[in-house]
Amino acid sequence: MLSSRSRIAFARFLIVAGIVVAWHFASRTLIDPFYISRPFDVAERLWDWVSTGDIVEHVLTTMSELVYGLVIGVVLGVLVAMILGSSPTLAAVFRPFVTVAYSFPQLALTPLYILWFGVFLMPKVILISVVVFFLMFFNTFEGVKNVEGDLIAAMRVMGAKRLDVFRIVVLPASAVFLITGLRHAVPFALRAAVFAEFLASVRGLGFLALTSARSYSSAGLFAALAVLLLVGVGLNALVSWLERVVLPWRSAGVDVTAAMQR
Amino acid sequence: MINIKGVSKSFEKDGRKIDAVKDFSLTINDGEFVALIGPSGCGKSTVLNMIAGLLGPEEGAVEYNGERVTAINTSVGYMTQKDSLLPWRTTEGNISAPLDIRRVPKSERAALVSQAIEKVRLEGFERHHPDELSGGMRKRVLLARTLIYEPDTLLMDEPFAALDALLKLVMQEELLRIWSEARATVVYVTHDLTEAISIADRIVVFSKRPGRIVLDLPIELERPRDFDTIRSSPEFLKLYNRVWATLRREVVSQEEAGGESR
Amino acid sequence: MIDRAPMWRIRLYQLIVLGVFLGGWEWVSDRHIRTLWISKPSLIAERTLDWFSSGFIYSHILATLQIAGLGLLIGTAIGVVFGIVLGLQRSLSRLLDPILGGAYTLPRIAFLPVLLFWFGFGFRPLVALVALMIFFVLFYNTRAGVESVDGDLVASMRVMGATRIQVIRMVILPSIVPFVLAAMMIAAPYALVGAIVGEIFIGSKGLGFLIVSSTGGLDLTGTFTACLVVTVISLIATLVIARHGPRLLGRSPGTIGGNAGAAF
Repeated sequence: MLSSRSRIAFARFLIVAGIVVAWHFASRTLIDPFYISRPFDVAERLWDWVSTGDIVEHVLTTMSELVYGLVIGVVLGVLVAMILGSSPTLAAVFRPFVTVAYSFPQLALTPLYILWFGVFLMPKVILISVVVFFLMFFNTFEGVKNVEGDLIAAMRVMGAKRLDVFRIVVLPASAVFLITGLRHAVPFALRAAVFAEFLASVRGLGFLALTSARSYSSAGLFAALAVLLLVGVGLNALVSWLERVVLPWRSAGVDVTAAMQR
Repeated sequence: MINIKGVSKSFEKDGRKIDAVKDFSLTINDGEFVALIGPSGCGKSTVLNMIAGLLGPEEGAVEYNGERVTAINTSVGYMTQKDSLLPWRTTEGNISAPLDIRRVPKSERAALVSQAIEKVRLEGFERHHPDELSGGMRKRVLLARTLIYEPDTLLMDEPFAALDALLKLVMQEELLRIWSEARATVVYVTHDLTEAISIADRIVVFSKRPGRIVLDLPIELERPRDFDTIRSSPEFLKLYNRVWATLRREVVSQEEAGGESR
Repeated sequence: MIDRAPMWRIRLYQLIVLGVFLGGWEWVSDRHIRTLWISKPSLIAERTLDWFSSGFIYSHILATLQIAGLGLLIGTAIGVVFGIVLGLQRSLSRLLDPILGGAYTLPRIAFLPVLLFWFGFGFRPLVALVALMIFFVLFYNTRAGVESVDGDLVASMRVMGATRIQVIRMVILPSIVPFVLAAMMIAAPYALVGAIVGEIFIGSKGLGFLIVSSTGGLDLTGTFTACLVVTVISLIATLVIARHGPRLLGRSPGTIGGNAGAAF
């Protein structure tokens, strides 16, 4: 008899298989394949892309946008938040500005970035950086304020100098913010990359999806989305791995936001 | 009459099968007040839930008034430790919930509700919400709600366990007073020995898991019982020592078996 | 290090920061960078006044709010239904969890071309995008609400004779109201983002359309003014929700407000 875990895995497999089969038959009988393509056509298209190597440059393009944007945005966001957050006065002065910037939908500026920086890598990296920056900044800013006041006071009372505080408290704490922030930022970065590629691009997975859609190829469209899904899952796995390596003392995904992202 | 014939029930926990009760039999006569007592996790709540039809036995059968219980048994009243009241309804609204469910005409409800409120002495709190009531009052609402549809059996799973000692005493007396008028059958799960002896006609002591009966003892103390005097009477002490000797053996052997996991 | 400056000084500093930012922008424009590329605050102020006094902006605001509002309602309805069904069917819910999680990883914006395929151009794909963007927030919150319902309460209702439908009507629906309201408050800013982003992509009116068409026409004053309007609307939404949300919910003010700003 199967263990309950493998039974669940088997049931999941059956569900996915069932969806694919239902999709396959629905797309000829119930719905015009023009609208949802057919799983076989999608798979064929994927195989086509992989065997000719066409997909590589698109994946690499989107991945490099994401990686540059994430690194720049996360590092700057955490750094600036730690600096502002370490001084109550600075924090109070910048609070309203931060609130305004944070509640502004950053994606709305995408056309502007394209105008300023063209249609290649640059506007995407900047858009993703900005999106990630504000996300990281806001969360770290709140986090620093909540966590560290008491800890720093305690360290100071123990006789720690400012530099000691930085080394003992601020740096390790920022590692936590960096990594957990990265986890939160991945879906937002992915969204920004795809949207920017939709608006203006010459390659990338968003570009691939859009050109497929423009040529009324729903197989290509769904194939591009499937690759995009893989990229997203891959990035998530990468962050989880990073979290285990850098923060082995922390169990993964403890806070509510991370749990909600799952 | 409740006739439990050789029932077994197990649960899966962390991939392991745990027997709650195994080949368990018990007969409860009409109008009897039976206390089920035993170490925690011994399956007494399982037995109660099987009588209510909330759980089905894997082997054996539960018969209620000669009929086999296969679905939820709506001729019983069910009351647990938690205050399972509807927080958005007032005292009146909560008490009339069963009437609502049974589609009793609105015109008949008011009289029944005010009767029930009188019975549990909640006059003046008709329009209060559960939040505004004390723990004891909430228990009274639960009692009234359970009694209003005149079930011929009350299933109670440690109904007063969450109350402080004094309030518990008051509620036990209250229950006995109401029971002496309603004359329903009561199956009362508890792990409080004093409580069991003071209120029940009969005590059934469970072994540690899987639960079986290790002692079935009639309590021939005169009714109506006065809690002030009864608990210091020599008969009470004798009964107490007798049951405790059995119960103690079960609790100790369970501890030695590595404690219980809830 | 622990002390904070008095409030009046903080306000003063804030004015200085704002002044330096706006003044610097105004000063740089046309001295070092052509105004064509970055516009300037005085022009934006002038345009704002113009749009509001002429009434030009209102129809665009209304168009965006309509899409966001309609999408919010439809997404809520679908999310709540799914949340109740899967909340009541825990084993099914557990089975589907990784599949739903996978769907959640894919950015909803990526479905825009799909939605165009399905719904054609115009109003409907935008509403669908908004509904899709907020679906998961509503779904996960509703499911959490259903799962938080006390099992003993449901058991006792059943023993009282309630049918499954009666339990849903009398217990489940009233229980999830605060969860659904909280989720809608979290989702409202997302709905606004969805509407604007969709309008940027395919709109023919609305604030997003205003942004993209101004930018395309090299009228950056228009772009920034439209952005300003968007900012003010989302700020108002955030503040209203943070202030009145907890009262509306009656309980647990901690669960919203903080997240309401997550427009992004």
